[in-house]
Amino acid sequence: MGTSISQWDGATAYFIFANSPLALVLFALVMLVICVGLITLIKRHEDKAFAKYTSIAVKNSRHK
Amino acid sequence: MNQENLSLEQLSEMVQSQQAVIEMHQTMNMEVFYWWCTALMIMIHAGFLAYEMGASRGKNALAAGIKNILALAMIIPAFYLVGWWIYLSFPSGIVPSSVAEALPWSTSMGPKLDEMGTGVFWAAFALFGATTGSILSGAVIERIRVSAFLILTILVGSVIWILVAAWGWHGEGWLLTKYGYHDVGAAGVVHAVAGFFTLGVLINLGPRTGKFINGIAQTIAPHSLPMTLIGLMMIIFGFFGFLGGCIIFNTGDTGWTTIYNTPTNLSAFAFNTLMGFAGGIIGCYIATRDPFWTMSGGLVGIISVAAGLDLYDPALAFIVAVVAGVLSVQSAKFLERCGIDDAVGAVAVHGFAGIFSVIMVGVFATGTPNAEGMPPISFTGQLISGLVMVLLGFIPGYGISLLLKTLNMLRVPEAVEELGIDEVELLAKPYPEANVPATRQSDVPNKLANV
Repeated sequence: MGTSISQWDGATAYFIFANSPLALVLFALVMLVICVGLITLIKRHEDKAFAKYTSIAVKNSRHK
Repeated sequence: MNQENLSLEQLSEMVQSQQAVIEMHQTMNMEVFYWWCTALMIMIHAGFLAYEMGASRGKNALAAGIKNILALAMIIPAFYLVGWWIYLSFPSGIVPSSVAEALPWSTSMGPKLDEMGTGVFWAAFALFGATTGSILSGAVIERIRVSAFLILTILVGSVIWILVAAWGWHGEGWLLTKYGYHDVGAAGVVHAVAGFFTLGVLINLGPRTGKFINGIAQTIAPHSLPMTLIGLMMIIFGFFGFLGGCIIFNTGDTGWTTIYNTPTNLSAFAFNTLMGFAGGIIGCYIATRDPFWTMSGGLVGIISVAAGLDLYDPALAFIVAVVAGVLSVQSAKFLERCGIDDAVGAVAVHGFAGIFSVIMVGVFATGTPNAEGMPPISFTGQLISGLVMVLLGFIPGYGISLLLKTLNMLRVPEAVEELGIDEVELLAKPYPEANVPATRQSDVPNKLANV
């Protein structure tokens, strides 16, 4: 579907979508979104995990 | 074919065809060289992984590990997006020149038959960047949030160090063209920059709980000292790939050159890398008698001579590394007296030794010519360039970590730090059976019992 060549003779940049600048920009942007998204995901996980543990720790200290 | 009957045209064709074969094989050999350098550099990260996990207490061992693994996974795509472009676009300062070929959507940044070097060079540089991230990683263990660490590691590994490399490594870099800066083994552009970036972060991050009691530094013992020692040795192994990646494999009849296009060879690097390694170990052992610092001395020694690997007399490299070993321990002690908790001594090992290395080239190699048209190596040039590395590492590290601290995004809560990050965030234990006594009857039959 995305091949950039129809024959090997004279081929240079032969990778998939090499002849479609828009697709290459799009893939780079998706890569950026995945990286930023991962950090956001980790931060949300940390916030939840820390809040959960902190509330348990507070409860335990009250029971003592 | 009867060669006596060959015409001049036929002979010329044969020579040209042989020439094409030789040139293709030279280019392939160049690719093969950097491919294996990159593979060896992965060992640096395996080493950092073992060394940081070992240096943590058991309750944070996996958090230290996952942080390190994710740093590698994030710096690689981030470096693809901006790193290579920064290197090629910013040699003259902070105003970029347009190098469209290095943008992530350029056809040069992918499989291309007529550009055999780009991918392997990019890979080697991406792993130099990952090394800067790992330098930060060890110092901040046991209290930094993974999300904050990743933001910082991407910044140092994909933006900061490579900007300095554009200034001090690129053939048109202003530190080279103006001051004749010489740093063939990346002591300044990788180690010093990452070391001082780390120092900036550590100031805002603060020490681990319990590190300082009434202002007196306490020892927080690693949960597995043997693991840290093996990890450090793995880093040393990987350094041979790192330093190999710093030398230029030229096709044609030029042979090896430094990144500054001055003549050298792998033998020069071999002599002085091993001498530095040995000297650093001895220096750190003399200063501490401590196993962790003795093994770290290997790194200190290599870094301390890295800037001038092409120029040192091997015996002088050894002496420089011994002195660096002793002084780096003193610099670590000084930092601790200032209330800085650097869990693995990264600022001393990489920051101090990196700058020491840059300055020592100025002390011993002043007057050595650079490539044509560039000023010769000078003490002043090395000193000014070293100062640039310190500032460009420290200021962003301090600034961004201060911002994260202000947003309450930098450090894990105290209660979490007390229990351990593994159990709260990762829901995992590194050694789940470690505290379970063997009192339960085994499901596995004892084969010797019925003999």
